[in-house]
Amino acid sequence: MKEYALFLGCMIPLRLPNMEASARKVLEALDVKLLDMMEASCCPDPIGIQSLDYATWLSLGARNITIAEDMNLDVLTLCNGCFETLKTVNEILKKDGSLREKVNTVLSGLGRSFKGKVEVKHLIEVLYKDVGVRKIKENVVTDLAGVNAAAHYGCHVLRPSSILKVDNPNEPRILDELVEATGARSVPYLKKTLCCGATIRGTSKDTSLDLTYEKIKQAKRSHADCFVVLCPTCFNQFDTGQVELRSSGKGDSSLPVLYLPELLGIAFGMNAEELGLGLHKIKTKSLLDKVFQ
Amino acid sequence: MQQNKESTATHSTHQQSGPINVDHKDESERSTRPCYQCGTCTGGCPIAKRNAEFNPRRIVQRFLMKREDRIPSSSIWLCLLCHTCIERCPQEVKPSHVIVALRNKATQDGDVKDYIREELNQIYATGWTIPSMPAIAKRRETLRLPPAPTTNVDEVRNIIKAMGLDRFLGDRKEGEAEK
Repeated sequence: MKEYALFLGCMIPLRLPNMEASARKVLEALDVKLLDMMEASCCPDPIGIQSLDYATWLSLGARNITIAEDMNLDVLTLCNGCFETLKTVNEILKKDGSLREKVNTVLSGLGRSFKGKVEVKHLIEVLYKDVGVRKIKENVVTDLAGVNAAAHYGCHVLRPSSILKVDNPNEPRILDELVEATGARSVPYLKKTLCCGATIRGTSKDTSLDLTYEKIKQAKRSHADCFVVLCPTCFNQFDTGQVELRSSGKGDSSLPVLYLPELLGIAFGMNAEELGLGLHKIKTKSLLDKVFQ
Repeated sequence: MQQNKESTATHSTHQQSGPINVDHKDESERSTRPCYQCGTCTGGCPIAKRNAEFNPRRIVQRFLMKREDRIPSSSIWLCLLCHTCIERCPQEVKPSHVIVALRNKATQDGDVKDYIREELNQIYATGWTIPSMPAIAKRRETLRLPPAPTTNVDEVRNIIKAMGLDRFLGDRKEGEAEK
């Protein structure tokens, strides 16, 4: 049984608990043991806080990693943003001794020290590399054949690939393979690796939603029944974004958005209620009807 | 090894006021030096396609020529940080990391975006970027989840203060007169 230090981040526990519920349940079904990282804080955000001050971003990130080091466990993140921050901070500080020393001077005031002895993993790496497609297939009780899914990886699980090292950043495959393990079809669509647009919501909302609209348009053109995502920021951008696009008269789509563990949960026989699918803004009924027709 | 060195190197163009000086200006210039201005970064950039004001090739050029003063301050905030430019660059230059460095500098000079200021305030207050809400706590219960995690907010505040960022706390922007 694999064991991980679970890093929840901000958005999942404090806004999108359905994502947390599905991730915990699916990982439990797959015999992955999770121990919560007590007293962890915001990762911190790779957009806002890194843009504000790189050194603070490193220090707050390093503090979080020391919690997993104390637990002697590798970190599992459920969010692309948390993953980019913690993995990058971890890799930089492992390799740059002088920077590590400076960060440790700050952390020493808290009685902490970054040692560089654990790894940081994204949920999808744990599902694909530790658990494996075969074991996931063994857990499928509801074949999702007939469902067309548009796999959206999100930027910060793929790029920069020289640091993150999860999959080929230009033609990623691992999410597609996990989607197809449920019997669903991962449809090819244009702009697959395009950003969801969320990271500039705070500075240019129109352009942000323009990117979201482009993604939705391409997914629909490929006859997708839903998006499958790996990140709460992408989830929110597609889920809330479609409501915003509708109210601004720019779009009329209602393409359900599923977090990968939600899709797996449905295939594993978990019901909509325990997965919290009712908390989505874009209703998942059309998709569930297709599965259980 | 070279890549790892560069990944830390491109981030800061300035002296930090906090205890960590990541002033890698010389190294960051070396990492943009191989740029031959082919424009692949701009060609693949989803924002450049939509907004002519944003041109990563030109930002890298002016950074390299030490003419940061000619980079419009509004343009650096248009970047998604999607890092597509890093993947596409044939010379291993990291345009989006140059932009992070330029944003850090803008912040040092007092140009802090409202959403980032709010985020910092929220992290200082609770350790998280998002405030807790009773409605979400109830949803967690319904989903049989444990209560939302709590952090040691004093440790978080200590780091923010040690780094000198407490000057950005509060609503008032730097330079604004007290009412």
